[in-house]
Amino acid sequence: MMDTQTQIFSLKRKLNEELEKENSDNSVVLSLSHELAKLDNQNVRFSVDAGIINRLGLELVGRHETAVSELVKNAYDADALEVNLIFENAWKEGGKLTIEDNGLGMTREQLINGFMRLSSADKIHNPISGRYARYRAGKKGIGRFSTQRLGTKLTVITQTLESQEAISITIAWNDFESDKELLLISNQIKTISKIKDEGTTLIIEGLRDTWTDAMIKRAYRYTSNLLQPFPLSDKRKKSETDRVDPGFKSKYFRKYEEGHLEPIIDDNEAFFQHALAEVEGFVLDDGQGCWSLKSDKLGFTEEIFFIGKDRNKDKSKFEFIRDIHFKCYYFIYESSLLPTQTLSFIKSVANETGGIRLYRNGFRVLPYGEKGNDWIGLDESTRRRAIIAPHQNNSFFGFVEINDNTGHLFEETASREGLIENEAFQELSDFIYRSITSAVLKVAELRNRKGTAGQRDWEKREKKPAEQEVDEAIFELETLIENEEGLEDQKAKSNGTSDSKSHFKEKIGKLKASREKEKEEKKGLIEEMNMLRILAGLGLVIGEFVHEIDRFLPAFDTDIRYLKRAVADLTEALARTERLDENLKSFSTYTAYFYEAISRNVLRDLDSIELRDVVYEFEDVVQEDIKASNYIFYKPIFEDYDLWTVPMHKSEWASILFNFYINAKKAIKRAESKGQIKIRCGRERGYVFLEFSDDGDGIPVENRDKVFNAFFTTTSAAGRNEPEGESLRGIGLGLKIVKDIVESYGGEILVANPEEGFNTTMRIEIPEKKEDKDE
Amino acid sequence: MNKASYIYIDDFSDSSVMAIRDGLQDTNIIDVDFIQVAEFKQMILEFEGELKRYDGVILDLRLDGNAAIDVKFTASGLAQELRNRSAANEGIKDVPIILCSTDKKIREYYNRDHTSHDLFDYRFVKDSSPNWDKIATKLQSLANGYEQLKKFKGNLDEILYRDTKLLDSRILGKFSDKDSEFPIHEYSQHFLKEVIRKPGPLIQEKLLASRLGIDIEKSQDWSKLVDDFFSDEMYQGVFSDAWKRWWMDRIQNKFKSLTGKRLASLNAVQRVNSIVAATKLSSLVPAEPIEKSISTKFWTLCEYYKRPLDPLEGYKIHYTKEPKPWQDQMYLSFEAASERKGLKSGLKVHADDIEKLKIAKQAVKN
Repeated sequence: MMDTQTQIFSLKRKLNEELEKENSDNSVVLSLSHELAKLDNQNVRFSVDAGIINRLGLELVGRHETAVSELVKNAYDADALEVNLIFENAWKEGGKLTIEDNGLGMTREQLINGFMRLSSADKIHNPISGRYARYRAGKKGIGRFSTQRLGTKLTVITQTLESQEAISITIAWNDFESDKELLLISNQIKTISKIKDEGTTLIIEGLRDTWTDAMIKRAYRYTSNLLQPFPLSDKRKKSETDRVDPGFKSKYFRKYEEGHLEPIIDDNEAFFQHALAEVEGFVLDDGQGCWSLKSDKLGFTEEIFFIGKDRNKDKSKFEFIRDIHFKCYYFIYESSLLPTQTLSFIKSVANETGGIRLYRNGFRVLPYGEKGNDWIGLDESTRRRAIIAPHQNNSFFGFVEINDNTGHLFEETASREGLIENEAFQELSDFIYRSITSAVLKVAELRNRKGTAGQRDWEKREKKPAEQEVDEAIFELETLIENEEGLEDQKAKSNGTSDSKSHFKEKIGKLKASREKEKEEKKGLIEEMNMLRILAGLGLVIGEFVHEIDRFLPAFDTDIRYLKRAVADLTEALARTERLDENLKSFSTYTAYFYEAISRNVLRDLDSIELRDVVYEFEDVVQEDIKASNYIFYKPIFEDYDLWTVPMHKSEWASILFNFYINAKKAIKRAESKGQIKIRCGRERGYVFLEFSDDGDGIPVENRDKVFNAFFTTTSAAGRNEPEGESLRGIGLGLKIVKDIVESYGGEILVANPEEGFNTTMRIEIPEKKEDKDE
Repeated sequence: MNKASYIYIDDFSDSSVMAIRDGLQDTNIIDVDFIQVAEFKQMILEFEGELKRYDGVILDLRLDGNAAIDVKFTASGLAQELRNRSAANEGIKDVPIILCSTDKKIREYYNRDHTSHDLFDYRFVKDSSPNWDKIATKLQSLANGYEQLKKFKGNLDEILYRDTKLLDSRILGKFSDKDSEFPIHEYSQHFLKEVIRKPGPLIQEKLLASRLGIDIEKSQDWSKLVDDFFSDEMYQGVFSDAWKRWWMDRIQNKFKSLTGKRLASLNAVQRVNSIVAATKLSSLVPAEPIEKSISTKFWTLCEYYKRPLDPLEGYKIHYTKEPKPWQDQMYLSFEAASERKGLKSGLKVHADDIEKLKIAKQAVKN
């Protein structure tokens, strides 16, 4: 062993040698000086273990969906207008994710002092973005750890508008092992030719998780506060160089081998396709106004209507405004029109960014269409209730474009906060208001017509179910055409103009086919309803039964005690009595739990629920069963205090947890595993969550979204001769019911990627109770 | 006193009810006879005749639960009538009245109406594993206690078996007025519920251990310590045969005379060391604080874990009835309060301490 002096001497010599080389290796220099510093007798310094990177990554970014949403937020913060996320081979672990944005990109300095510097303070010092003055959404320093959370290898390619070349850096996260010095792990940086004007591309390889479509969609929704689902007209796409933020879009794709990109989720998928109607309008060069309505949902193909300055004369011309274009998507937030989850998602985005925006010569004019701005008077009109159909600002995502190159018609105010509200402006907002409300009324009429077509009382008189009516009508229509065909066959042949007829026939065929499909679907629904009715009935009976049972519990005990004393000398009899005792104890914990569940349900009061309460109660009940099955039930983890849900029924939690438990038991049995079960709860993004993990046989990725469908089951059907109770188990309604419960509170249930050491993790998210609930 | 006899009244008369009777009877501590509930007048008549032969009454809470018989009253109604008549000397013997029911019914009906709580001397729950021996012992003691109270004719020194001049005068309250006469059940209610069963001048075994800083489970010499050194400090008044209690003022004096130190000023280790030194009992182990608590200057119990706690680290529990001036506050530890343990058994944090808990939770999170 060398003494310190000799060591220092030798290190200094090596360091000098390295420095004198023409191309000295910085890694060697760093490493030597680091060694040298460690031998300093007078001073000591902190050093950082490379393992910190992995630890921070996993601790700061819990879930992979969150990680992706953080990276999208970073693109937003970099003033990107668009970010594309492309998943390749992501059905399995080890896939690849590419995230391309057209934001500002990074210079070499920014990359080194920002991205590569831990705990950098850039986002704290600059909470507002440079070009479009966006409030930065990303959390500080989370981005790089998100990439680490997602995959094993990261490549960053970035370029700025001014730069001549692009910078590329590659980081292999696996290099960051414990017991290495963080400082001494080098990552290759290269200069390559630019791949676009500006922007950053992240290529994440060796994805650690599987990605189902549901997960990808979830990541998209996690960025909902950034989403501005406004359509762009072609004209405007090109001229976006203003400082006013034109908006931000994210699109998610899967890439297949042949290079084909399949969109998974984007504005259209998430918003526009769910719109009840599309409204578009113009004021032509001669001052004539018109608007059009289109609604696939209501079966209304596009139709154009004229609108005049004088509301009684459709053909009257507008006096000031010319060359106006508007378009908007119309939403009515009713559960009959939209799936629950979609509804609450779109509504929440609309509450923040919904409305009609105004663009002048291609540039956005503020504050029109911002939250709280009611320039067209839609909110006010809704409050007046002259028109009852919903038409407040958050019912729309839309824009108005005006072309006014001379600037004569619409002048900006001196403070540049909007336009001067002159006569032209009044005329414009009047045109938009009347066009939109006309469209809204038309939609109401279309929906109403649908309603009256049902004509309930008429149905009764005829005593013919509506279904039969439809079928008969289809049949009559069909015979009508066939008959005509017979008559006009020759005619048609000679003319060769049977086009419209074959068209007709084709439509009838389509009608019949969808009619069959409808019947099939209805049958499924009825089946599900019947099953639910049976289950509800059973629930009531069980409630009654459990109530009655209670009286007998002390009786069992008395007699068992007596027996124990009486047979104290008979070993076998005593053992049997003790077993009887034990079994009855497990039995009674179950009845107690069911009593709770059912009697609570009778009181139909909703109450905010702390997850601790339901989890501990559940733990109490299954305790005996856990013991008997030899499972390991880990101490529940609560990552935070006061995990209050929105008001719910407590009994619903009994259903949820029991369902999870029963499924876990089945899965554990199939896998013949140890039987480990773990519950973890916490809060995230305004939700409280509960994760239920087991080490059973897991759910194959392709089934992850299916398990919530009615009648999806892993249990084979019960035999014909099995008792009814048996035939009701494993019918595959369990998770469907859980899903219905969770979604009815605006929550979400999903099969998450399993927690380490487990094979299935079910996750429930329920909106958090807003204000603090006192105990 | 001999084996006490109780009369048990329920609305059903099937085997489930007989098992309650048998459960108590099998202990060989008390005797129990069963009669099925009948219409109100008839019940009173029955009591006037039969009660003389018995030492107490056990009532099922929902006497109106059996649709087959026409009964519209519950245990509270019947008990009230019995109390009224015995107070007015109208031929009804003043005896302990015991309430029994299933846990759910107690929660649903009894807990919601506080006005009836003073009618019953004791209640037990019919659940899946009643501790019949414990219940029978209490019932026997209650019967004994009523007998003694009758005999002592309001002599407080005899009732509590000590010189009561040294006690807080409020404890004796109205009973110190020599000119008034009170029915036996008033004495029973007061001393049992307000003095014996609540911590204050009298404390129970776990609380004694907490104050002495000792972990009962781990200390083999615990019972030796209590029997050999603190037996004179044990409560020997009415009901002491089923409620084991110690006089706290005497415990403090005894500790002082044993060790020369003041109990309250020491932490658990110091207390135990002093006791070990004074008594030469070696197997006494200092108690450890509950998870997330630190102090070992124990003076109370966490009502959920029933383990020693320093009140400074505790959170007062919510009471349906605030403690009397001479009674001690009861507490939950941080762990029990923050994890919401014991809510099911009604252990909530007092409104006064919710803010304190909130702050502490925040501190733990950071």
